[in-house]
Amino acid sequence: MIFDEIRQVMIGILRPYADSVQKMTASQKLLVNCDLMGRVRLIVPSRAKNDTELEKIVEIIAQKISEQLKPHTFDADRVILYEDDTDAVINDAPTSKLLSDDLDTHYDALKNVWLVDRLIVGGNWAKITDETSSSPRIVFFSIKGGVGRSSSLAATAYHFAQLGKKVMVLDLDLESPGLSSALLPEERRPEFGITDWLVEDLVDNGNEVLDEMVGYSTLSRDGDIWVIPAYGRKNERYVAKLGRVWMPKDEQAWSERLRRLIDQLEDRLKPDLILIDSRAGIDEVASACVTSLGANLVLLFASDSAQTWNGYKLLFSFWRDAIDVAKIREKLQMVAALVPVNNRDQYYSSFIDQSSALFTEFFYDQMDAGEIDGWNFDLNSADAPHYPAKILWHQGWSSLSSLHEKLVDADDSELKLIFGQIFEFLSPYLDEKGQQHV
Amino acid sequence: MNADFKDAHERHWEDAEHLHEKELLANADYLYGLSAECGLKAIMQKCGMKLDGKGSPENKEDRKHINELIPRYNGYRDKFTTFDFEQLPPNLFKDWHVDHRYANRSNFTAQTVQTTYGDAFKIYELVRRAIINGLMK
Repeated sequence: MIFDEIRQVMIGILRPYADSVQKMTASQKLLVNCDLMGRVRLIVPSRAKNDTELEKIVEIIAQKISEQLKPHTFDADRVILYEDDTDAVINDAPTSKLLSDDLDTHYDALKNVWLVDRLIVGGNWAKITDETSSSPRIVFFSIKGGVGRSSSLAATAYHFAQLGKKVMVLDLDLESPGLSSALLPEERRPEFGITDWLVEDLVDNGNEVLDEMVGYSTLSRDGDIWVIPAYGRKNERYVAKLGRVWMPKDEQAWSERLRRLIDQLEDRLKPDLILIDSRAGIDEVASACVTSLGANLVLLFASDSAQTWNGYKLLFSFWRDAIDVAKIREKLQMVAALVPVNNRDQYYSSFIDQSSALFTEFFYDQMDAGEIDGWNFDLNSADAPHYPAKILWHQGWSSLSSLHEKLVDADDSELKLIFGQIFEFLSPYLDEKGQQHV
Repeated sequence: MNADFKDAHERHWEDAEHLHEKELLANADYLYGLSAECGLKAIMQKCGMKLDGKGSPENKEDRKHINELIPRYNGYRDKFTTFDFEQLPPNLFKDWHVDHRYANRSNFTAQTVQTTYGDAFKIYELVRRAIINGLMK
């Protein structure tokens, strides 16, 4: 029993008692209340309690819910809540009819049964997890979308797979997923995705979907590319699932749960390299990717625009105030995206100025004259985190939707021309840490 | 016996309602106050209040009766980012005191119990919301 099945199972439970349900709901809604953890309770109008016959039916329904919906519900004695005013209980939570209007209209008796979803958003920017000691985890992050972050990740996965490596790719852009389509044709999309696991994990049911959430990309010839998409083929009620992804469980923040998922996948697949596509922006997912997943390296994609630099300023100032800067700064690396073919040098030079100013303001140690110890870099020091790897702008590689076809017929020299600096940058991580699996 | 704040909240509430209905005002008033104290402590626990081995609050400042507990609750509530529990006005239960259990019953009028009931109901609702949202079983 998984979250996706709740609606259908509930319909199946209530149908035989449709007449009684109709009596209960003559003047008040009956609510199938799906709580923050994705567990169901039935909120019943109090009038049913004053009618012995109806009360008995409610008890039978509670028993069936408990038997058929576990782990997404409670023991029977906790399934029912009586309320005088069930409308008031909804309290602005997203609500939809249990039976959609275009479906099952002949079950008119259930028309006043509603599904209520309790959802939440919350996150933890400030906690930094130590980097992982097994396969290197590389996060691809950008403040703004449309800078070629996902394309670069797809190309990187392809490149290292061609070199015989096993690459595991996670699409954590949960609210705007796209990466997996670039690496997997739709028919190879696995049944479930990261969102499903995070929801099932809330009720200790993660293993139910774990085996069916890995897609194998046919792009890889010598190595392997495993793709763990944001969502799977079974993506009913995606928004209702997304709203529960952020829930903490047993004192574990959602991002720690995510890390647990990645640890489990890593243990099963034994990849040489783990590439993580982070959502653009300063939000929950991005926060987790950068701080909580045990990343070895966070690639910060940027184009040279005021909006981008202002975004990074907000992010860096938060980190500087909230966390131990020394824990994050050595993992960061700027990437200059969308570098134009014409005026390349001018663009690059302006980028370095901005990037250097940003790191100097927030992350570099202030050095007095004559001081030599300290974490600081010159403007044009190629080892500096502000000194960017370059990705050239190229029409053919700018659209994620056509990326799969593009990779099928990829020309290695063209790939190296556009993304080569990223490949070079990541190679040492693979040499140091990936060898044990090769 | 170990403390179970949520269950204690519920049983005190149920008994208070029975007594109130039968106009046994003095003990209804007392139990509404205890119900609110236990309910609020159950929520404070969800918001991060630590308990000792016997299930009592670790911090002595949290071992208060309801007339002194609201600021402690608001403090925990402010730091809890997972769920937006309602902030409570600090003047709830300002005329309730646990020592009233020693007082003569003639001191308790329908009006005083109604006020205590109104204050306790706010906490009853708070717990109910926590249950509906799945923060408490």
